[in-house]
Amino acid sequence: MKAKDDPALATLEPADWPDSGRRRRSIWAAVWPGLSAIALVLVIWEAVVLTGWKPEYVLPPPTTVLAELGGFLLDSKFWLAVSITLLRALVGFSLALAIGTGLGIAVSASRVLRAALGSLLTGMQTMPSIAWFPFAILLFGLTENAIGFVVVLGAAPSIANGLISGIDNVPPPLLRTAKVLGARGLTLYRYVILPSALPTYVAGLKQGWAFAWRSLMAGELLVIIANRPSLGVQLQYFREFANAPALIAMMIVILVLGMAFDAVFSRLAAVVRRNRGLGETRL
Amino acid sequence: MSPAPALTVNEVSKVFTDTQVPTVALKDASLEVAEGEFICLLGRSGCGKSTLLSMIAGLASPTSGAIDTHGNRVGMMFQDANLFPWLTVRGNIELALRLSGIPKPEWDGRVQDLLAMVELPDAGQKRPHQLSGGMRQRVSLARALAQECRILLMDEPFASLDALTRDTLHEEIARVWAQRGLTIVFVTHNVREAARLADRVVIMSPSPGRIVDEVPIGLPRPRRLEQPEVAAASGKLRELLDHYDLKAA
Repeated sequence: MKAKDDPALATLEPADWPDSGRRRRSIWAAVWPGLSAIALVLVIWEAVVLTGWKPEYVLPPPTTVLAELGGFLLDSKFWLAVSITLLRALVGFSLALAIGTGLGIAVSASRVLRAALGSLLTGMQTMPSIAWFPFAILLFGLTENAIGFVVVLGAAPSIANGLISGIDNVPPPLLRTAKVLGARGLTLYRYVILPSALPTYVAGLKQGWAFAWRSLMAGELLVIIANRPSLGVQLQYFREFANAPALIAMMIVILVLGMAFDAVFSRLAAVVRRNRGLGETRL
Repeated sequence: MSPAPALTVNEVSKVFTDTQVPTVALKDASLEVAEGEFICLLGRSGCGKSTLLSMIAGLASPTSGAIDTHGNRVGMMFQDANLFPWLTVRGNIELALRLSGIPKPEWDGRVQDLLAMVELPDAGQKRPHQLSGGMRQRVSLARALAQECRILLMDEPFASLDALTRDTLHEEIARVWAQRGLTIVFVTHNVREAARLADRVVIMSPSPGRIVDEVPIGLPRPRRLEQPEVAAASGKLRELLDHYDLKAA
């Protein structure tokens, strides 16, 4: 049966029909600029090493670092560190999601709360999360809670602000239409206001994730808990032992993980926008 | 014997006080619309016709006077279709069904019927942005009908469409109006549109917005925009509009 005859596909536009050749080409089109950039960085890095600007035990060549990175993948302690860090990130981000969303709805719905908290939330976004740590350590000691506290403080304001601006920007004509259709109160929120705010909310989530990940790394460098290896602790450990190849390899791991999660949110945002006919803007 | 009224507007005024100088948007408007009647509110911008419509819809309340819809459900269409962009065509109609408390098992059949009625039987899975302006207004009509409104308010719904599409939609709305026995209040500033569609044209005049005259259009249906009778009627409406403008100035 041809794709055109399949009733499930009949409503799709021609551009949506599966076409492995086109798909392969489009993946390549998306991937090659990134690959080229990585190649360029590696070349420059190698060139700097070759100039002998710093001794190799301080600035190792890319090959040494990549070999170290390969070694990580076979090391169970590395995977334990990754899992501890990711668990912290996910727990912290989930809490921030719940708190930020609740706060966003409350602030957007209440004039008093908005006057009280609106500018504070924006201010919190500009506060470097590392500045919270001394206080967090006083409150919670060198514990998971101290890290979680700062991760949540870092991410929740962005999430709340994303939701608030999404709700503030619901087009008034849609609200009027919804009211004529009989939507009031919670129903209006559930079926019209929140769905309408979704693209901005997702943008807030993406930013919240970036803040959470930064706060987490800062936290793991400062709050070192015994027998809890994490990416941040490993970083500190490699610096203390002047193990430059492992240090740089770990930084690459942190970068790649951060980017991978960011890509998830970007993908989510792209799907949301495409469904509404808000194509990407090309300049 | 005249049919029962579907809508009564009694001495309604609307004053906006949130501006620097209070603005009288509508002054002492009175109007009675019979069940199944198609009326057009005709006037220049600023004559209060949209204000009156949004008060009938319950989106704003009169400063003084009263509006009685005699228990009829009121639906409304706007100049833009205002479809919810995160929902498919089907989803838009289903939301209207849900908000009207229609039980879920009936949705499928109703969506099919409504889409067939607006001649878009296969558009259910489409997204609003994939439709043309005229198609979007058809979906908007289907959505308004989904809430089983007896009174349909239309605020210049075809003003942003091209002439050919507008012509088709005029036929469509006249057909749906007759089939469903709807009562329609249609706002326009287009004299030909008013002559083409209305049983009765209510003429409004600006500053302050008020109702100044009523003209019955007794032409037989179906009508076409090109008919000399329709052209003659719109000529008369134009003269009346100019007459009241001169009087106001």
